[in-house]
Amino acid sequence: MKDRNLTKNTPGRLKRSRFDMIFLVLAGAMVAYVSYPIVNIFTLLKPTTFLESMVRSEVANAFILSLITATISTLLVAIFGIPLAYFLARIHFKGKFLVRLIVIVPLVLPPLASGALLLGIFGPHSMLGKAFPLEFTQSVLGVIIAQTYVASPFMILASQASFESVDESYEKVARILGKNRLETFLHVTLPLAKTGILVGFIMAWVRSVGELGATMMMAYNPHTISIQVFEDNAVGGLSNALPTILLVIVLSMIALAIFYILRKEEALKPIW
Amino acid sequence: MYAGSLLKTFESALGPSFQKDTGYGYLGEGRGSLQIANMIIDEQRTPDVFISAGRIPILKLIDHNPVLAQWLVKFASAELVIAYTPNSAFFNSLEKARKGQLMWYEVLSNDRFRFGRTDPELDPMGYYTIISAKLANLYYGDQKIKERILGDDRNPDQIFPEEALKTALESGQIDAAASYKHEAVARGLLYITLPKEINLSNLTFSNFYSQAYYTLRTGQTIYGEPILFSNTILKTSRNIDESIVFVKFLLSEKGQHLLKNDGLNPIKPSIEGDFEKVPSVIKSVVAGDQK
Amino acid sequence: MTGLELELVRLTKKFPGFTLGPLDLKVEDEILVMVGLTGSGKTTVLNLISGIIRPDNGSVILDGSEITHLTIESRKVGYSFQTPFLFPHLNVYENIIFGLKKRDEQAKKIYVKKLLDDMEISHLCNRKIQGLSGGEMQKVSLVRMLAVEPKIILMDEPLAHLDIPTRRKLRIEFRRVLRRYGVPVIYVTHLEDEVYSLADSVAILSHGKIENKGKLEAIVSSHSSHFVSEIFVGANYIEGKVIESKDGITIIEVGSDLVETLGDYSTGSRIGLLLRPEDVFLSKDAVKTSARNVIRAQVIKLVRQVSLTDVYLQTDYLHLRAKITEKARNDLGIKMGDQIYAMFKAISPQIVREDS
Repeated sequence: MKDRNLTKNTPGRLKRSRFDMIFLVLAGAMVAYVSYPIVNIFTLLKPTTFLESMVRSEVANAFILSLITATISTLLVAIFGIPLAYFLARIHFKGKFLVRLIVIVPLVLPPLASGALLLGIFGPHSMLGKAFPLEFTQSVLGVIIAQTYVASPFMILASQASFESVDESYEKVARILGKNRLETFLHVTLPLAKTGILVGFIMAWVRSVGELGATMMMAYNPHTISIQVFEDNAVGGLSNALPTILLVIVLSMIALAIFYILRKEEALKPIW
Repeated sequence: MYAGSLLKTFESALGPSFQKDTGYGYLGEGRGSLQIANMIIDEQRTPDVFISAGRIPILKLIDHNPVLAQWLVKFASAELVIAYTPNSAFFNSLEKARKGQLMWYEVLSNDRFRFGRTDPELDPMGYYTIISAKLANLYYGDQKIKERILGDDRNPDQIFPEEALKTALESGQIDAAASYKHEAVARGLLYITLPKEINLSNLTFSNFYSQAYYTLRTGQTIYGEPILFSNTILKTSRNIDESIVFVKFLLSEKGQHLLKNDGLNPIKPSIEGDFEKVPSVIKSVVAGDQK
Repeated sequence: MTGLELELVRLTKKFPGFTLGPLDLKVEDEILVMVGLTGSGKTTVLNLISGIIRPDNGSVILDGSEITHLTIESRKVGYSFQTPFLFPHLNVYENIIFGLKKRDEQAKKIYVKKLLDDMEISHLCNRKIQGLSGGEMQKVSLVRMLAVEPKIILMDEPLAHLDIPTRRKLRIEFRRVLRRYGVPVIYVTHLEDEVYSLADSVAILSHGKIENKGKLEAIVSSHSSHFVSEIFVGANYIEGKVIESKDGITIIEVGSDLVETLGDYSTGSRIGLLLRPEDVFLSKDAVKTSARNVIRAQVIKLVRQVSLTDVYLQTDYLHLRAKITEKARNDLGIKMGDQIYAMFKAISPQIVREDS
């Protein structure tokens, strides 16, 4: 009964493989587009200068500074941004639309513009600058201020989407069982929204590390790793900046690895 | 804060050396000198010491109301050259020009030649390039030279931000760039030397230089002059003592030696502005009492 | 029997285009089944009692104290939704003890174990909830609710999404467990056989008002309004005491009549059956057929609907309705007041309730 074998020539199957082909080509192009410049770097490496540059203390300092400030900035954004995300997800209030727009502003503004605006309120001649004896600009504090500003939308938007995906009924059930709003948030909402918030964390962190424009305005010194790349390039061209660039890529890989490890522990998805 | 062209010198040599010798901390940022002046005026930056390419940016601070700086010390001269790399499409012609076998402006006038320079509104080298080209008109007796090699004053095809200019040159995006000699030396670039009459490096040609000028958008007119790197301590500095030590270091034999290494031409320092307000330590150095 | 009471006093809630109330309702230590068409406000009543929404007017009084303005978490009201919403990030046991305070966990362990055994789900303790069947989930949800010992239990169509066999099993189990627990229960459903399975009393909600409320038998036999007949399609409800149960056949006593049906039940327990009018045959003579049940009754009402006729019959204890074609009625010559025989097979009735 050779007609039994319909799989080869049925029109349905043909369309499926054409679809696959198109998508494969497009996807492949995307991968190539992103990876080629990175692969190309290795052809530009000069081993001796590379090693020399790697061990420069300013590169190491910039690396550590970026690690620390990105972490602090991300934590700050989490502490203040997650409650905001929760309100935006759950509560309908007048002017909500306005708040949502404001949240996106740091995302839409060119970083240099964000930096200039921040300089206006934190600069030494501003109201805040004069009121407090702290050095808000050209300092570690300035780096944190800049990073927090530009990274906030990532955390807030990711967390908001995550909270929205948690059915409110779970929270109602928890409260009916006797848990107050805080307990419900900690024991039910947060665990169920964990993955999305985690994405927000990683994106905010990576964005903080990669931040250049606003940081350049607020705090050119001390150098973050991004500014170090900028300066190395200005001083000695691409070959001089390569080691630092590679360090940044390593940093991103670490962040990605952490993300995947943490995600593997999240095997659960709500069934209803 | 210092003129961007001094980046390598300050970050790799001067800064670390200063820290080692004096134990004082050093934080540096390099940008176009005019841009630095603007940032200081806009209160976006409050540096202690400002090293500028040419006197004009510091003069802007001196003339400002309220006064932001009161004096300046000219300490090194720079020379304008045309820098290029083997990546240039016109490499052979440029080599010939460098050796004197071709006229440099003939090579640059080619329709397909891509020349790069900085924004005259932000960077002194930007306006020095234009002035130099105008001087070329006078020197060679050909009124069309500047137009042929530069086009409009703010020709968007040629203007690059300072940081990107050298990268554009090295990657082959442009065939040649206007540059200071010390920059070209620092980056290991080939360069064509221009006649003294137009390269803005020689004090004896000051009068000749002053025949050409460029007018900024603010209305201020800048006349051709030898490019003299100048420094000042900002009136708003909160670290006056340390700043004085830095300027002293800059003017010292060691400091001048470091500058010379990177292709700058140290000159006998001279003061301009309100002489009374210059710290006595610096006055002494300039006068030659302490070396 | 704790004699707990829920009382709704002039409870009112306004929505655009719909007003609930003013409602007055008293619920004693019994299962009150609330029925009504979609949109009549049943879920709103439950939401008001549990505190999910607040009323515009009126009060909710539980066990003597007013809870109208308390937060959800302080009310001690149990509420089970159609979808059980078991927490996906916890396993079965963790779900069940979720509502318990940390210090009570140890003390309540025995109580919780008893609940689990009662519902026959002890073996599921360490399972992830993703692997449970619909019926198992509803059981876990019930145990989770009972573990915190609420003062009243609200259930919103908990069996609606389950398949019919599971539904049939669970409604009997639910009634057993809920009655043993001994607090008021308000159970919302739109399924007729669930009413019969679970109700001690019935409340009928219509357009935001309580149209009728009373004991099950009273409501069912009243047929007082067109609306009631909408809900209760008019199955016959027969309740009686088991006097014999052997070889899969059970005989119950209903007044002076005996009814035979399928199943094994313990002697002495009371069971409730639903019998569809379509399954009742009528005969002028007591004929021997395969139908095990032959009951002599008097015709008390005839209602004609085009080609079908409802024949209402009565014995001393039993009320039956038979649906036959008008043609058959005519042929047999059945009239008001006639003594005739109602017959139905042992297979026909459906067991809906079992009280020991």
